[in-house]
Amino acid sequence: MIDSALNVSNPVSEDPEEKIHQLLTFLRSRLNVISTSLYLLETSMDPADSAAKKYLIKINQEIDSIRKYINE
Amino acid sequence: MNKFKPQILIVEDDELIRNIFQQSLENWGYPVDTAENGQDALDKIRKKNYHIVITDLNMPVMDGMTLLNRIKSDWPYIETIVVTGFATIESAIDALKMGAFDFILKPVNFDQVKITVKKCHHKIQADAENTHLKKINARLKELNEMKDKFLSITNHEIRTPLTIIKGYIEILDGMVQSHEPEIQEIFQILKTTIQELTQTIERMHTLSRANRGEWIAKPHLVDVTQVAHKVYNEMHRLFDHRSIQIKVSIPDHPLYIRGSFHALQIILRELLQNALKFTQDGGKVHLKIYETHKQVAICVQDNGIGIPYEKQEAIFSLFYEVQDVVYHKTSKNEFMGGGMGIGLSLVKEFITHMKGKIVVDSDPGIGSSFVVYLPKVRKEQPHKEVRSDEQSSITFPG
Repeated sequence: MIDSALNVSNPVSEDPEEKIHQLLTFLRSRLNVISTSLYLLETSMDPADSAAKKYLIKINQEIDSIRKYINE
Repeated sequence: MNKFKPQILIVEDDELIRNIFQQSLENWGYPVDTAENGQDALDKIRKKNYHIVITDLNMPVMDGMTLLNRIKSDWPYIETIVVTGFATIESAIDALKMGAFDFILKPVNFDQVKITVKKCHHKIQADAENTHLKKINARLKELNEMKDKFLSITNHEIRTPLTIIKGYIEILDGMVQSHEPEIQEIFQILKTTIQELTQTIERMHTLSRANRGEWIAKPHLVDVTQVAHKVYNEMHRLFDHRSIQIKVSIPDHPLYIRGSFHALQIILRELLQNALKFTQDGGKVHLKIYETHKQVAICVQDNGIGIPYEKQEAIFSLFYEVQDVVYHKTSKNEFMGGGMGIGLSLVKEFITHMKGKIVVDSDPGIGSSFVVYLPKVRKEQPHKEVRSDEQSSITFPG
């Protein structure tokens, strides 16, 4: 065990551009999960429930603002 | 050394000497052109890229000093070696002052020529490598600044909409009040995903601040045992929930280090979270605090799945997860649960700033131990101690 010990006191080199890309990929994938879930929720809800629909529209607007920021 | 050979121009009015120079240098593998005087040399330099000019000083039409002056003015990157008789050595010294690389005395000793040209060749190569490294460093600096700016803006631009979305979803959940399992599951997925996004953004922000050394900028005296008790009290239920036996060995006297209470909390939480994530239900985790002659050690040991040998070097790298990070959807507290690969980067960053080190020892299928060593401080040394009521708060993800 001791022989295989890994001393990592030195910093690991990292490519910042790649890291940003990874973060964006993560954010996009999670936003897709939220959008799909909202769509499923909308199709499962009572179509006459206008109050609930109002909130769904607001949530989608906020998601669009995040998506727009990420895509910029 | 790579195969780069500098292009050389010989400037010499004596044809015999010019030819001997050319033959010798070509025999040593250098590409060589020749010129009869300074003016002829300038005409050639305008048409072709040379790295080294070897020039006689006394020549008709244009002498070597005038040529050197023009080269240093218009092509400062070209290295120049002057050839001069002993009687005009003062001119050679003047040439050095004007920026010549070296001089060769007449009668010419070609062993000396070989050594001088080789030295000049090395200098050109070193300069080129240095310039290349400078460009890479500048690019890395630019990228790092871009990353920091991106993280800072991301924190601001995404956190607010996420908070709003979270609020609306809670209202919707209250309005719909459906008992249908399918709808309940959708709400659960929404809440978990938003929580995960929020935590990731917060942790990236914390890491960005840690990179800049903000947490450790004003180090305080911190009692490691106090932090360990606090974190254990916060987290032991997560282990109980999964029937993981967590054993703690914390000395009953304070052990001080210089750093940040907050950063130390994060280190302990991340290491315990990591053990929780990679230990099967019913497994064992041991949190042990002890002191060596000069250090305080924090050891988190588990009998979990361990880390594959080929992946051990990468675990402290940002966004590195042993399992897939994008497509999982389980809770961080579950076995092999999700994560974005930020936690151990934070740990590494804090430890580096606190002048400590971390040693990982892991065998796949047997378990892992992470030991953090931080410089021990005697209480008598005057320094402000942080009490627990002064601690800045941070929400532990989970």
